[in-house]
Amino acid sequence: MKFTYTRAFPYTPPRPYLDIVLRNGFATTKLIALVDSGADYPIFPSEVARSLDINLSKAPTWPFSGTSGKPQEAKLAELLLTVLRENGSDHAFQEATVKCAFCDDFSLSGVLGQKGFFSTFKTTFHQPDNWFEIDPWDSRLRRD
Amino acid sequence: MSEKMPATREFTMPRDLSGILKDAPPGAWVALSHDKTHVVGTAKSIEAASLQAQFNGERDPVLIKIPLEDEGMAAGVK
Repeated sequence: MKFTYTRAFPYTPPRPYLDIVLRNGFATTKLIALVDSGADYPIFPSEVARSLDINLSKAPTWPFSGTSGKPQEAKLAELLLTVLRENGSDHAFQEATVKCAFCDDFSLSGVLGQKGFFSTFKTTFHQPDNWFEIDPWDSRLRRD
Repeated sequence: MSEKMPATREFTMPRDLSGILKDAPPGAWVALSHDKTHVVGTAKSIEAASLQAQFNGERDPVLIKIPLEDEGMAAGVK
């Protein structure tokens, strides 16, 4: 499925953003997240986990070097992730269970990284033409 | 040697949220309307931005966090 690049901020070029829904039980949050092949996991601020009622107190710790340029620590937890179509409401694919990292001082709303996103979706960037394409590796995640 | 057909190119104009996010303070969470045409909440926390959206009649907001000015993704931030 094809998605258009988005210029999110006046000072940045168009980038591959997706509308996603994260779900834990009945709690959901809809976010704009950046598709980022340089990230090892999907990473979100810890407050996203709190908004989803995810208890991170006993979650495994993952140290990483991230957007702040300093060593950072995140907690790992599994949840359900859905990619939305460009209309922002319809599900593009079935929900996938992904392991995500939650970090106290993460300055973006979310990035979609290698384990969890790229391991679930084949992703092809057409950067000069401002679009990208994602397709589940597992055909059972397709909705058509 | 066979000639390769040129790859089909399909240029698309990027979606542009920069206009509606230009006044959002760095570090803030911004709730956008479901069609992403206007801001329905801005706050320091995701919960507060979501609540503002509900107060403004938006039941299905989409949230984005504005990056801090001194942090980036190997990218310009000014």
